Amino acid sequence: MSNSAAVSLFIERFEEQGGEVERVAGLEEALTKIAEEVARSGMPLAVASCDQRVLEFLKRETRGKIELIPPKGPLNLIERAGAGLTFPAAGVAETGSILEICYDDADRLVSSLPPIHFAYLRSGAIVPSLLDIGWVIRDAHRNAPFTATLISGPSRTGDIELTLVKGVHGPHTVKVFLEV
Amino acid sequence: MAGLKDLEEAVKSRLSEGPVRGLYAAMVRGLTGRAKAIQEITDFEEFRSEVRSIKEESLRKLPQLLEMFVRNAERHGARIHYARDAAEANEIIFRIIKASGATGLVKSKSLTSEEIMLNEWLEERGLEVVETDLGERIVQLARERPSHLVFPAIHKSREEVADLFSRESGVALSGDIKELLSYIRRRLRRYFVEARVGLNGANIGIAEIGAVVLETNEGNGRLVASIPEIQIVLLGVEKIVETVEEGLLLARAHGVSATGQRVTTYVSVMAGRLPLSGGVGARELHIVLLDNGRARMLEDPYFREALYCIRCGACMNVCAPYSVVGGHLFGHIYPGPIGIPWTLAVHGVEKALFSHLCISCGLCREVCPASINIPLMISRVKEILAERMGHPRVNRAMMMYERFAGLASRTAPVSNWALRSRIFRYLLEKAIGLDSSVAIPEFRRESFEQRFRKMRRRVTDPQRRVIVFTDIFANYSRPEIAEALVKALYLADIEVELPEQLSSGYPLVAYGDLEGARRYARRNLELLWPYVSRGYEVVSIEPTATYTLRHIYPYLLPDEPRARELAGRTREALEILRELVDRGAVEVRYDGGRRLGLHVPCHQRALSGASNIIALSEKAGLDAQLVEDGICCGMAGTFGMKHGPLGRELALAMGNRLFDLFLSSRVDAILTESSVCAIHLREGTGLEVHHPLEVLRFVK
Repeated sequence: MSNSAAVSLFIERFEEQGGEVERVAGLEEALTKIAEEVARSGMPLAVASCDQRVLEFLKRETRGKIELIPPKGPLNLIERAGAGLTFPAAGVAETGSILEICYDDADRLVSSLPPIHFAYLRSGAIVPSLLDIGWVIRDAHRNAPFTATLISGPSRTGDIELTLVKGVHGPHTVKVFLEV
Repeated sequence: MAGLKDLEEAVKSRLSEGPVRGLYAAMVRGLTGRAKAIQEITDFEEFRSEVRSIKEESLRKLPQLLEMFVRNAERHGARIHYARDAAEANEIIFRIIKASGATGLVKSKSLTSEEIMLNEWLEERGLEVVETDLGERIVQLARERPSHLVFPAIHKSREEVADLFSRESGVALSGDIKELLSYIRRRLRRYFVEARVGLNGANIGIAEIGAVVLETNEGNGRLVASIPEIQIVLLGVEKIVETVEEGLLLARAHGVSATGQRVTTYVSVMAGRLPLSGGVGARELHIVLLDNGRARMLEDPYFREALYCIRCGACMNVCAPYSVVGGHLFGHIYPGPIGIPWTLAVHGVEKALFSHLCISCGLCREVCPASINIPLMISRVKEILAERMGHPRVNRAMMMYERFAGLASRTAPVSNWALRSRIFRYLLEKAIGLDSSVAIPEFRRESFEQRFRKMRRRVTDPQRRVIVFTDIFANYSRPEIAEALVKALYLADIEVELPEQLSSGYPLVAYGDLEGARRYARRNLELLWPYVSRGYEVVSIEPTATYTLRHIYPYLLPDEPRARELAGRTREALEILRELVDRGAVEVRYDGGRRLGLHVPCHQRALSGASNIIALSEKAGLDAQLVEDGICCGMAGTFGMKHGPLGRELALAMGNRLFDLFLSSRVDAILTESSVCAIHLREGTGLEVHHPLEVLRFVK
């Protein structure tokens, strides 16, 4: 499967599972859009571990508009966040999933606690099949302890009368900004 | 038989209350979701066999994998605890919590913790246990047990849930599901944030990286595993595999089979404990490796396969009696079909009495992602129960069906008169438990065996050579079916023989006399082998008999290569006829002009399903429509002939949905290859029911 086919399949399946995908030209466009979206809610944005330049850019974009909770922020701050931003290591077309690798539980909480989860993903990081991420996990294992989490849409339940409801203990919205 | 009366009473009471709320809808959702999800997998049978071989291989080298898992997990700082049984596991977990100074813990869904009754153990010792999965929380507040593996509180209405949450919060909540969800999110968030100890089960353990895999949809598992200082993982040792890829494949199988998802929303692979917010505090990871009977299961030739279970619950989604009585009756702690061997293995034979609810339709094996032979394990459980308590009288009578049918044929028409006599049937019901209202097909004095002697002919230069396996019905009650088959075979210049044979012996499997069934298998093998060894194919008319020859005999006689060869040479009657039509050796006609509904017997689903009859119908110009919900009609051989709640009453309750489907489909009559399904469908719908060989005509 070519990368473009994998990207199309990823988008189709991730959206089918209740996730959202917006194509962007690059990281800066994604961050600008994220900053705009969170500014509208006025809620803090929690950010997972990332490159310092990304953080600097975000700081500039959000200054005076919203509170930015930097990577490895304390639990009580992440809990107050209206949205979390993570940087998945890969996407999986077959299952419509993003793969997050974490070395600090605060990073996990960024995509667990806030009601909205934004993720920035490069299309080149999308692999066709689930088994293709085996090497990513093994790679992460070199720096263990680690946690790798496949996320395939918003948190959900059908436990009451089989009525599907999005957003239980995790986010009700998961939006991937996909660099194409 | 102590206990069986109680089970009968419980079933009777359950049936009087009507269907379990929401259960059937949950099952259908699971089944349709699965059916859709497997379409995306290129070769699903290949996928199933990969899943099975991962489990087989992992269990074969379990001691090495355990050692590898422990070594790697310890390298990441995990503390490993071995628990031989439930009490040890509970005590270990209790001590970890006490040592931390915590007064309770938050939990994400863990069936293994229910196996060891952890909540009760901890609560009795004064600790607060907070279930965080929504369904689990609901049943915890209701002080009940889960009724479904995937949807634990499916039996609760939104109003009942609102009532439980209102009582907990002291605030009146409406039955609006979003409001209930919003409440539970707020309520449990405090527990997540403040808990010092979190406990989760694990779906998989990966030895090569010392990691556990946790799958959740709601996201509670991620919070339980990341916020509390102390994380406890309870892991059944059978869940360990060697490689990351094997773990990922099982996670895929779990999502597809449990809910029809590609994978569960969150699949977390956790190796060691991470710091929180860069801190260096004492964040502990304890992994409790639970045996609790698993080592014994591993050594048991029957129950070893139960360890292949990935806890997807697909088997309960297809289980007809479970759909009617629910998981509280059809289960002890582990519900559903796979719950039967697991209950025997970890909770004891006396708790496995609910195995009498199993009707041996075999569908659980057909949907299992690891192709576990659940039906045979259940037969073994029944056998063990019988060794302890004896077979129920009615089951003993049903296992003597062959003698009864032979006698009824030899004494026809007197036997038919007697079987129509209300007094005789009443006495028979009292004496052996055969329900007096079940319409037993008439017996013919001249069996097919006798008729064949007259119709047998020599085929010069035969195209193929076959032997016919008639089983009971086509031999003693409706020889015309077998005759029609033989005539069609002769038209295609096929040599036909009818060697001495017994029936398949399946009822003995169904009622748990595996030794008796083995005797049938051996005898039939001896009788048929002289032909099979000379290249004859075995053409079997009754789907259950075909299923038994093909799938059960090799299992009953594992050291007998001839049984495997017999299985390989066994063909369905319609399968061979379809081939003859396809290659133009015969033509198929239908002269009736009616619209017929097709019913696929359960055992045929393990064979060709409906493909042959559909293909032949199309060629014959027969307007045939498949009518089904994928679940057994409830007759299940002789099960529906038995008097009482563990027989006809339950069988009719199971059949009602299918009866309604046939009636609403407005077909003129029903077509099925199973003689016993025919009895049930005739009674339940009032429609005529025919064997395909009674309506299709084969000509040269």
